[in-house]
Amino acid sequence: MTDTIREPQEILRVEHLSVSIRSGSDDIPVLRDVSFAIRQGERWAIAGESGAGKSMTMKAITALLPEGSTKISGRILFRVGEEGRWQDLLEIPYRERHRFVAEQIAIIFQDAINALNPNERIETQWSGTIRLHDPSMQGEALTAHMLKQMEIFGIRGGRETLRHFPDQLSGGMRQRIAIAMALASPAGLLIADEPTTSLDAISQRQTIEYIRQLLASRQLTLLFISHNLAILQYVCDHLIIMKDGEIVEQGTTEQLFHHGSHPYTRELVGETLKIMGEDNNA
Amino acid sequence: MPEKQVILEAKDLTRTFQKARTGLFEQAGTFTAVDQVSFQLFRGETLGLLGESGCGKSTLARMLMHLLQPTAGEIRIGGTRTDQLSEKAFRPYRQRIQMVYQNPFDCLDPSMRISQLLAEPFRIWQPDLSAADREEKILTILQECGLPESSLGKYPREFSGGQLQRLSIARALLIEPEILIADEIISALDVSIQNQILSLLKKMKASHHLSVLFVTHDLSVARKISDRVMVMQSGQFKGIGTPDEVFSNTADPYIQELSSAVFTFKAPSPQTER
Repeated sequence: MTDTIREPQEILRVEHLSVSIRSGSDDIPVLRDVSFAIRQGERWAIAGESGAGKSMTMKAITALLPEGSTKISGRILFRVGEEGRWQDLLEIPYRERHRFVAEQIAIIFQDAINALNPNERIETQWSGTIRLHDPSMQGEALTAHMLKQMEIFGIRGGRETLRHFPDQLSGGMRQRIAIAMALASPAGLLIADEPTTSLDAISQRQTIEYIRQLLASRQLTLLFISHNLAILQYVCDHLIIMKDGEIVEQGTTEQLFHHGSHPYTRELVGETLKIMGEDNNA
Repeated sequence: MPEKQVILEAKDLTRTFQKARTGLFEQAGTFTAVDQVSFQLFRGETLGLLGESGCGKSTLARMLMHLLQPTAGEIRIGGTRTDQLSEKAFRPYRQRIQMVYQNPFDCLDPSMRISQLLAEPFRIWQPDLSAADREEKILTILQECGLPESSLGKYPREFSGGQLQRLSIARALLIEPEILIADEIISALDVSIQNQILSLLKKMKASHHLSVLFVTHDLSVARKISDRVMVMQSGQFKGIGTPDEVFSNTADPYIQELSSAVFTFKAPSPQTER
């Protein structure tokens, strides 16, 4: 049946996802009944203020929540294999989840300084990531591949940059390397958690333009987490607004920004306009 | 219009730092964080200091606050040169220039109650003030900053970031400074809180007759709050003027690039649509 589907098919379904953090005898709920579905090629955003549950949702989907201290319920379904069956992440034994997620999702984190290993040269960690997905790659071919990627990603310095440690590079460079590393994965779904928040305006613009090009050229599906509505408006076509661990509203970006029905959506849009709107130079 | 009075002035202000040596026999290089920057802050204005992280804006602010000695150049507060003063001789100026920082969690002692935190400036600067006067001033400023009296018995951890930033502003203004340096005071806050803090700053500026140096990396915010904006890049001065002048298309190429890099949120409602 997979070859006759006309409309892009759903590749990720999150159903009634709830997460609580174990604290003594109590469980503190941090996510409540989160549900959404993403079709291939769509660009989704999760927006909301700090503490809304954006990163918690991302962590649940990417199996980054520690098993002992968190309790997860609901289903996180990925479309897998040739036949396109659904696989629930939470049904996979905890120890095997990371491997599964690595094949399904490319992840970009907020600050590459935390995502990159400070004790390894860029070359070492990057080549490790590439070989994880393509063990046949080695030696000069591997270096040539990285240099080619650097050219594509606008990472300057060639071999010298590869020999650097993460802290010897600027924030923008580090983030581009982290993106290049994330995209060594053949996964079709890219999850970006505040990827440009720690960058300056010019690097931010370059990185976003770059992510947009990648989305188009590699036909990636995107789940973008950010508190910056101006960037989400520029990149995404679908939007989830979260507050206090719950989804307040979801729909197309256009629909929510123009006719958001929930008061919180309208408040967020109004406040953002005051700060980042085009007509605020009065 | 009355003649503009210069309240704070920097002339060719420069600060270099020693870089770490890269090898055993190599000479350590120097790094110029602020490179011959000159500007004037007029009484009663808000001057936005805009620049990306690492451009030297915080180093500049720290020199103005006498927290860092300039390598070269001059600083004048109310016409008097202050950069060469000893810490003791600068003390009277500390009451005239105060600073609010980016992260209120870091600059309010977590082990002190708000009542102690707000009494501290008086203990240092006006030790002769009677307890009753002190209390009255504290209660007035709390009210001005939109915080309930019950805040006094609490600790910083019991407040949100926005409330703590209100407290930081209150604390800086208790001793009635003339100049306030606001260093990225809204960067760590959510967007709705950002607007509240900006409104509070505007209100306090008017009621306390402040001159404000508003340090920010955010062009939209600088544009929104400033009477004039000064732009820095890599320690160098790039331009100063009203927002319209500074962000015009005749500006320095860097300012134009910065200006076009910024994402703006498109107005959703019909009446503001282009």
